[in-house]
Amino acid sequence: MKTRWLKTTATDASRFQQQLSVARCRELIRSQTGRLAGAGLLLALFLLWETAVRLTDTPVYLVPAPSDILADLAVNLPHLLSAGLVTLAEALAGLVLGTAVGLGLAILITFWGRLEQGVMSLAILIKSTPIIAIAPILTIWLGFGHAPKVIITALLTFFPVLINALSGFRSADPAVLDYLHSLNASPQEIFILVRWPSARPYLFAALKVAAPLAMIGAVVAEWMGASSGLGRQMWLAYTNLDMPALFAAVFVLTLLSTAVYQSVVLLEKRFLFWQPNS
Amino acid sequence: MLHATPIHLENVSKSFEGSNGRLDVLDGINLDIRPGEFVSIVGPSGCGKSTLLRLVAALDTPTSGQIWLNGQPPLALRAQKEIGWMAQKPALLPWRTILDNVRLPQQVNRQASSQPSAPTESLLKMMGLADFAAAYPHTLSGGMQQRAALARTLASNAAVWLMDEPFSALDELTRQALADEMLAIWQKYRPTVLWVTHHIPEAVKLSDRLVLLTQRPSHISGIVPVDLPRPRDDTSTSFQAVVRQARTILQKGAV
Repeated sequence: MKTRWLKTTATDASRFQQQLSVARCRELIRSQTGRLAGAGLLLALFLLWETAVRLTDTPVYLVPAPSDILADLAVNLPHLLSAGLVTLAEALAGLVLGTAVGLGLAILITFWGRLEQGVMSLAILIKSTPIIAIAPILTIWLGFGHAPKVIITALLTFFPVLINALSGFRSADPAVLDYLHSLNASPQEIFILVRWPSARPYLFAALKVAAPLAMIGAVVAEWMGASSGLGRQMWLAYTNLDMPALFAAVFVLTLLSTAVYQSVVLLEKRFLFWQPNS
Repeated sequence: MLHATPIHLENVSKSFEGSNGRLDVLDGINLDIRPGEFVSIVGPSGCGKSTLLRLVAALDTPTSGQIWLNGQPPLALRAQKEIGWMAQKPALLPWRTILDNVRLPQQVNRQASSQPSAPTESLLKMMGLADFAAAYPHTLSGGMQQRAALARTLASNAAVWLMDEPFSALDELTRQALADEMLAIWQKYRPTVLWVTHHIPEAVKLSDRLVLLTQRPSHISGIVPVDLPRPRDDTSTSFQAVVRQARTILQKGAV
């Protein structure tokens, strides 16, 4: 009797363990399903594209097949990557400048509310002017170097930072503000202790918008005339009707943009630990 | 800590100008609170108890009338960091640990040279929070968060404690436990306490006197002294009698 009982529990235990490992596998599959599905969809899309191009015999100067683009990448990837690094550096410099200006203006308005209307009207004016209209002017004024790219990127990115930072500084919990007032804390103390940390989620939201915008700004500026960068590579490919090279450049640009975005997401996870669902 | 700080309210009225016109909230409040006294302000919701407390904390200014704390205007006492404020929400900084939250009052307004009542670590120990010193507020229960807020108020070592329904968002058991601790703290440090609540038995359990407010625009409808020895047994007939007395006056004022 006793041994039988032991045996049953032993098989039960192993069955339980089996169920556990099955459950763990399922968990793993479930957690990776989104990613797998995304990759699968992309692959299917490329296959469809390849087949369509081959079946219809579309000339390569109209639509290159993925294999044509891959062939170009295989040769030119180092070249494209070094061009991409130039664009990335310009985009990041512009993003830093734009963020600094946006943050600075938001801080100014937070401390001196009377400035709000003037600053915001000017900001909206700049924001409403299409960047494609400003870019050639700046290129004529500042030449083919990095300066116009950085400035155009900054012009494109300061606005989301300004708007979000302002909302963020104002999002401070009224109960916490009451508490700090009851201690007679100064506006500067309240800013450092409460408003700035409260604005951090808003700032990351702004960066998530501004970082891809920065890449767009830098590339658009390079299209207007540049001595280096991905935009210039694209412009060269475009004037030569070299479609595989153009697509290869787009591929590298997308890769870099995604990397920039993901870096912001990683930073956000690192800094916003107190927000369970961010 | 400035010991023995009396509170004196003289004909205090407060109105708010809104888009729907003028809203009269407080109408001629006269009140004298003795130094080290525990006074509860009880009234129906929306009657202006919180507004009254905000006026004493200098978070708002009266439309007319005067408030004196130890013979000084509220703002002067606030500048000396002699006001301990605690509201229904714990208002902890979510990005700071419990220890750093409790240290906050010592980190702001440093020119006011208030001495902490005790080292922060021993305060946490006293409040049963020693194990949570390094924890962040969102990992704690509501009761524990409010416990931390109480420790923070204690750490500021203020002479006047202004408490706006601090435990009313908590469950009944936690509420009673914290009320008992509040009483022990008050008996040890003897700050002057103004305690806003709509819970009559809680007010009777804690306070020296109950100040009862009418419906808006509110004035004082009665003051009920509680002459019972502490700790008070809320099942005793004398306790129930005081509760009944307060409730009768409140019901008249609410009509």
